[in-house]
Amino acid sequence: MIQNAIKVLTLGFFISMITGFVMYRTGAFDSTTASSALHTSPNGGELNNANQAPNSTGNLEINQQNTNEIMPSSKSLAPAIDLKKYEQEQKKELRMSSSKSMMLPNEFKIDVEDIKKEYVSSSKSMLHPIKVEPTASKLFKEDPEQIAKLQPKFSPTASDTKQDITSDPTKDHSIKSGEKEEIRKTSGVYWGLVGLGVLGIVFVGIGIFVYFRYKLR
Amino acid sequence: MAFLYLLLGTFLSFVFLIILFVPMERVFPAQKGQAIFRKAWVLDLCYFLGQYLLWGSVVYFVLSYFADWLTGIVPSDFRTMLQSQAIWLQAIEAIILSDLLIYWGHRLQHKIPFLWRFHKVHHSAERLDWLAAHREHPLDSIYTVGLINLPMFILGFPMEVLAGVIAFRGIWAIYIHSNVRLPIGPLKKIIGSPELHHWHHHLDKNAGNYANISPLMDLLFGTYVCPDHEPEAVGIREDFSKNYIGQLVEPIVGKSRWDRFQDKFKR
Repeated sequence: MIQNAIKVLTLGFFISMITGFVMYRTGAFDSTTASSALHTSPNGGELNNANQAPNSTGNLEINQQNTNEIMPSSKSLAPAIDLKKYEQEQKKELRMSSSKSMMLPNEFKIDVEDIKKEYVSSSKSMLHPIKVEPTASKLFKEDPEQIAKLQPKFSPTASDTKQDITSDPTKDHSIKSGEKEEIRKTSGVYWGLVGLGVLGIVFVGIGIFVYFRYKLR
Repeated sequence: MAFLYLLLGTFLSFVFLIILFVPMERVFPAQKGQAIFRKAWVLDLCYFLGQYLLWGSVVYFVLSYFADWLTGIVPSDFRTMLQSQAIWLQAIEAIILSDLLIYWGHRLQHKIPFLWRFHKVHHSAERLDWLAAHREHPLDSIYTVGLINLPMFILGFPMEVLAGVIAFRGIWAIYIHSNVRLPIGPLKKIIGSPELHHWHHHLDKNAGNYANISPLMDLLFGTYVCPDHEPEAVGIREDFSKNYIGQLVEPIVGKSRWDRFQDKFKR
């Protein structure tokens, strides 16, 4: 009797630990997923490779990089100078040129036009104010002519049209799949996790049933 | 600092695996009386530490390079088309393709002498338990981990949706090597178990049971073996180095060269 109790307890502990481990790796106990993005070796590889895992959806990541370049995250309609970036660049310049400052004193001269050219990053967002800004899009619906007056003339290029913001961000291919998961998590019930929990319970149930059926008979 | 984290992660993984498997091996032993600190325990500990602290990073670096290369050659339209499928369908496709690839990849490891040279390191264990599961040549790891992830690399399946499967697969791969005998009845035709995998480690190198997580591929291709008792002996019949460095180097340079080198070293 005691032996059987020990067996059942050990089995229950084992199944619970495995279920817990799987749930932990799917991010059930944390806001971020702790999952490894790679299958480990079927011979018994290491359990944690999250930090070094290659990305299987490489093309999506490339799209994401392009997005940053084409449309900055800033939704500001006005051009803004990225002073932080400029400061950092200047510091770098100072450090680099210290040894040859005598030779190239002009390096320290700040060219305002150049700053504008390089650091006015949100000027690109001006291309799509209607799509980005909800108030503007409301205006556009109500009075397209009024908006047309406010905006510079612009015809979108093929690459720009690809960057449209869709109503469902999870369908946007420019967003990394990991971010999609985050969006799903924050936008409602995470059904995948619920399913996994149910699967875990079913698994524990089957394990105990099979054990009683075939071992303790 | 990063190395300290790696060290801590390795230690915690080791403790977790001890807590998980030692009670099971004591309560449901396949080989009764097999000690925890059995013969070649230190050798397998070297493999465990090597894999976590060194080879794991090397394997994933190589695979990253490989994955990037594959990303470049597969047309992005094709990947986009696959990624537009329902998530559950992608998950099923990825699992089936991985299982199929690893089954045949594993079978080839037992058939082709060059591949067997590296894979026999894993089979050289004469006592099976959770720690022996980690005995694997790094080049063998690149081969197996590469194969099992190949569908994801080529087709660009989002691995995040398979997180649960990947985690389960990882821990189950260790379980099937553990010194446990726990018959699961008809479920053994669906899910792999130690009683099946121990037979794969039989002295006969073509003993069968090449699939790992699910024996469905073995059933499909006629390599399913499940006697009602444990194999009398596991390991390999070949003469093979018994130390860590020897087991890593011998498959690369060949037995004769390694023997000559050892002779020189002894003199």
